[in-house]
Amino acid sequence: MTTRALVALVRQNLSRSRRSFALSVFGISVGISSLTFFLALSAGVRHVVLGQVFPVGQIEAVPSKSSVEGPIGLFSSLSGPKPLTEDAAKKLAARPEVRAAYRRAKLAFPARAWGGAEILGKNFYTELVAEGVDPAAMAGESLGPEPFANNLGSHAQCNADADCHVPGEYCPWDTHACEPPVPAVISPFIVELYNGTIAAQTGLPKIGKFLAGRLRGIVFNIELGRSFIGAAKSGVEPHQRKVMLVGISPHAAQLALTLPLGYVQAWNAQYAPGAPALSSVVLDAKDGADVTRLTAAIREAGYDVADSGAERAGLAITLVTLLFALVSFAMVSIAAINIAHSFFRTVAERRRELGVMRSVGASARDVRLLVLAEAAWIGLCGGALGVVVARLLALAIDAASRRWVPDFPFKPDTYFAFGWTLLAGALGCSILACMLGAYWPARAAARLEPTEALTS
Amino acid sequence: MIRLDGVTKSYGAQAVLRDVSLAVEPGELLSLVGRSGSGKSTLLHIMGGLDRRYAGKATVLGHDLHALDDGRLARFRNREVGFVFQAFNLLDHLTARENVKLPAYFTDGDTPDADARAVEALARVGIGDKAESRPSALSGGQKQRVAIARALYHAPKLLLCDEPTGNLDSETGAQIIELFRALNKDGLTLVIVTHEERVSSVASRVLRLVDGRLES
Repeated sequence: MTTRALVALVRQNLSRSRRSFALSVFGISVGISSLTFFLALSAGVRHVVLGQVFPVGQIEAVPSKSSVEGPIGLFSSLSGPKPLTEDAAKKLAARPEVRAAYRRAKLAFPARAWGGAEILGKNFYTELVAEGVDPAAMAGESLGPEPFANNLGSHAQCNADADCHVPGEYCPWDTHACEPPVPAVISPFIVELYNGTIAAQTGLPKIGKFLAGRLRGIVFNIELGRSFIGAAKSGVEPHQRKVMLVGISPHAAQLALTLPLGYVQAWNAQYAPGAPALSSVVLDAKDGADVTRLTAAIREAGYDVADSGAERAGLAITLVTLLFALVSFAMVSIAAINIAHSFFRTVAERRRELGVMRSVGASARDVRLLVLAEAAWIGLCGGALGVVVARLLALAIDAASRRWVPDFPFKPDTYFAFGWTLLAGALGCSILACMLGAYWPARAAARLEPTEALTS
Repeated sequence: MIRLDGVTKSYGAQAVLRDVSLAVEPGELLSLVGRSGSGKSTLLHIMGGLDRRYAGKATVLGHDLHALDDGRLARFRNREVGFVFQAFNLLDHLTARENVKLPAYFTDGDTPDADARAVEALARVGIGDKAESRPSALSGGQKQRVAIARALYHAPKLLLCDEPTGNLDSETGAQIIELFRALNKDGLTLVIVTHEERVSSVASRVLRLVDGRLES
């Protein structure tokens, strides 16, 4: 039987029983729309959580805390965690799974910051939590007006800012050597936290795209060696420096002001001489599949992997997705069983007709193909309807969220990700479910002896 | 054309055909008569490859029907024989033209040529003007003519008819018998199962089945 003939027969058969066809299509579309909706929701949430909140593919190796319990564990913990040295960081960076490695060092002494009046209307005072990050981590990012780099400036002798002739440089009172402000970046996470909590509670303006642009170039002050709650133990006199915000970067430390690594290492040496040179190294895996191997290698080298929350968040999303997918699959299965029931009834009703077809030349294969093709067409129509319904529902929810749901950190424009793979998979699943449902009726129809069918 | 050797058929313990042997020559118009339940229709179904659950040997148009697989047997039914049934067996949701070209779906496909051939077949049996009518709008005689046109669609060498006038009034039945006689004159071999004497009167040979056995 040619495809054209098969299509013509399917069209003729389905057009005479429109009500039954519509009911079957509706049944399967309910299951498919539910399946598509939940999978798209899961993919959308996963995209936000693992793409923006906890970027996967980046593993942070940190000094290990002994997990061995009992006397051995106590003994090993007394010697402290294995420090992450420059050599150890280089060895990890040289692994074949690693595309790039970025060293990090936390500011290891008290410090504070204030500023922001020109953009927020009043000065903002805070304890300074800062982290030094390899400037290479920001390579290729559009930052400005100053580059994110260890720039010591002209170092011209000075007694006041007016003595510094290079634009942007100022005169620190402790060194009397002109230098530019220290470049700094913040993470989108901080912006989202500020917008979702601080701005909402204090009435300060939220940082949108416009304000984010204006943040660039803003200069504020920091004081090293003294904070609102204490001073550095080294006894070194506190010093003030200027810091310039040069942008927002996903490679910045999540909950700290990010400064070029060289500055932080130099300040740590001055204010906290015993602090380790590095607090962590971020390894950018070449491929998502390399993450497991790389994690094992880090642990084998005696270090831990910082718990970014990605693993738990990913697991939680997967479990919720599985739960909803199971419910949706159950709905699709019920639809398939309905289709099986419907086709068994149809085959019984059309017994004589199938006998006539056999008498004019239809083989058992032709009959089986005809029943399965009708089921496939129902699956295609039901799947397409289900996908459209899921998409419309998602659009409605996104629109409702934009209008009525208050802002929260990482609030996305859309909660859904309708990829082509998902759409094709939903259609395929719909067609497959219908064909599976129709398989036994098709088999029974094909097994019908022509003479039995004709004399029924 | 047809050769049956020792064909036996039973439904459980009940024998329907008992050691039936016969030969039909090309161009014959054979009438199979007998009382209801004598096995006439069963024998016709075996000749047409509709029923393969029998003992003995049936050779039709050079094919040993037991030796053909389902696909070849389907092709045999599609190309080489035509069936006409007492109940017409038309598909109600299709027009007369679509019913007639039904065999084309299982060979050449649904082509424009198939439509032309279907209309031509309808014209040949005298109802060319009813091509777009559905069976529900046709009389019994017209329905049977559509069924005959469908049986003739692929110009088979053998036409097998099972009580073709059983559901028709005597005048319409006579017209159908006349049509069969004309087709036979054109060289078509016919085997007609009937219990009507008027059908047998135009046959070149009449065979009688009594309790599954053949009597001449």
